Amino acid sequence: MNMVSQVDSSVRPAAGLASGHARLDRAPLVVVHDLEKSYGSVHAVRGVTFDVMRGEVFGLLGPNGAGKTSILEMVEGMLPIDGGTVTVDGVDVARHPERVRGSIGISLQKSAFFERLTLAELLRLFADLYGRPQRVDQLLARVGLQELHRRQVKTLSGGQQQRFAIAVALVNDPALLFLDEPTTGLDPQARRSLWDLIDLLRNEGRSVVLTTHYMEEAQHLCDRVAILDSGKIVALDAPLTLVEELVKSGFHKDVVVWPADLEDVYLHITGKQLREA
Amino acid sequence: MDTRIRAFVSLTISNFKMYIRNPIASSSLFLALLVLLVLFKLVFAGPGPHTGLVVVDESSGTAAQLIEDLRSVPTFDVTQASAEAARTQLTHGKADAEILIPSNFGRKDAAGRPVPVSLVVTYRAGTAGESSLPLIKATVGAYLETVLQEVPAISVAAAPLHSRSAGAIDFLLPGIVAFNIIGSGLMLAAGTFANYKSTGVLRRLKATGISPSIFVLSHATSSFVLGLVQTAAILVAANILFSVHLDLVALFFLVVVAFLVFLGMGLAISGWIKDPQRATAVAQSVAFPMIFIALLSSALPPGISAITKFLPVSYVTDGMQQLGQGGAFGAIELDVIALIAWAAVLLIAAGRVFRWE
Repeated sequence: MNMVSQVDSSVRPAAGLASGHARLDRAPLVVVHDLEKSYGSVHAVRGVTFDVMRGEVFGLLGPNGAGKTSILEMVEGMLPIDGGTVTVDGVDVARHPERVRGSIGISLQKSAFFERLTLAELLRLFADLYGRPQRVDQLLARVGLQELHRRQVKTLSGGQQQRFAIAVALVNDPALLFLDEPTTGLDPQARRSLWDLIDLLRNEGRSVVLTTHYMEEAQHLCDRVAILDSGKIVALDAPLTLVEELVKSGFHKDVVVWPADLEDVYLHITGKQLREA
Repeated sequence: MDTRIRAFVSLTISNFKMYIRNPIASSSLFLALLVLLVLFKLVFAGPGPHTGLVVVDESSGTAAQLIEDLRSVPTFDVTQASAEAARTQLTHGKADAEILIPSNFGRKDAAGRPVPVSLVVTYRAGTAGESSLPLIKATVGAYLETVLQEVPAISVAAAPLHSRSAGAIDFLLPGIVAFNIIGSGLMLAAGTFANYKSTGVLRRLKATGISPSIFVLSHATSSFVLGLVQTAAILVAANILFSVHLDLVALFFLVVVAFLVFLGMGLAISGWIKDPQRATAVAQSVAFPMIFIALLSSALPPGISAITKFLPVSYVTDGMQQLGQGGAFGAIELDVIALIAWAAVLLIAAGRVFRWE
């Protein structure tokens, strides 16, 4: 996997990592300290601090306008940093944004590609842009699109487009991927298919930072989550630990536990197989 | 291969593939100009515009030679009629002009000198009848010289500055070429960039960490090659369809540097203006005044032309006019130098003001 350089950092305590997923390397790959961002008079990100471990799936949660995408894009080197520091694998993002972007995998909230190139041509192009070997068949097989290598992106379904965006994000074989709302707008089958893909990436030892509006998705995928509100992190821990802390604090709601929910019904009836357009 | 060169080559090849797969966007103007050339050929291959002349001869036969001279003019369709019938034809559009030859035509006075007479020409305004007046006058002048042996005291001897003779195509072709390079250099560059920005393609490319200069250079290269291939095709088609007297090599060289200027302008506009839609509008609002200046450069008031003469389009127009009048490379040397300077400034500016999003 592609690494910018080996980081020499102190090992930070990663609370609540016992999530049942792959064993995590304790060395942080991403270190974010006191991050700030303003758009005119709007203070969008206020002193955000967190880190992401190697092999960890880290979730940024929060309502619209909470600052998720701003944080993600500053860490990716896509957006200028107003204050604070971010290092990715030991590289200062503010000083070397292009170097960082070249070493990580990015799936934007709205990934757009040249319309008139095929999937195979796009993957070859991106391999050349990253200066990496061309692994078209391998990448398309990884995301289950090997049969569609001659199709253009605009002819793909929403789920297929998201999977292709992840294939492009994997072109440079990154140790760290950023996925901005990867399952927004997808049907349950496509969403489950992407979950499987993200699980696979984690099992390969890659770190993933994702944003999502879906709490069950965060609970299923993330080793840790940061919950944001008004540009600040208001909670940061493993999903189950956060739930336990809430319950311990006396939180109670009347629940009827059903062995299945409506999504289970839907998937049972329509099948779990991913539908191709 | 070096990573930057590999990225540049791959992007450039990808651009060509997209041009080929989207011919409407990349070649519609070029194809329209080719069609214009063919139409122009069809118009000039035909018999050309004719003038319907109806002659009312009241001279009792003394004007027979003059009428024969008028009939010998290839573009005149001459008929004879009474005054009343001639006016009816003219009124109903059956004729373009009427010539009334008075009854005293060809008579002489007591001293044997011709009696002065006037031929009365009535024409339909805005038709071939109006534009044929100089030809009618010239025919009458020739009649006076040959039949009446009247040699004018003053005559005009005209000769072209350059040795080559020029036809209508030699004046039309530079305009067609200029239109193509403004269209594909300025408009296509700005429009394509605007589209890439608005759809988020540039943002995705930014995420790879490539240098903006590589992207701009690859886009400039592919647009440049496409524009030159199209221009070469127009010049070849013009040469096949017509007898072009232009120095085509000099014209092609002028086009190369002019294309770089307009390409740099398009790239600079699309990089400088943040809003993609606005970039297209700005490109249009720059292109159309330039086309206006190109068409009316010789008619502009001195105060305005003192400013516009330093604009790149003025150098292009001047170069084209020099070539259209039969000039060779030496005649456009200064224009080419000025355009190279403009191209350098604009391409450097385009690289500096480029923004991914």
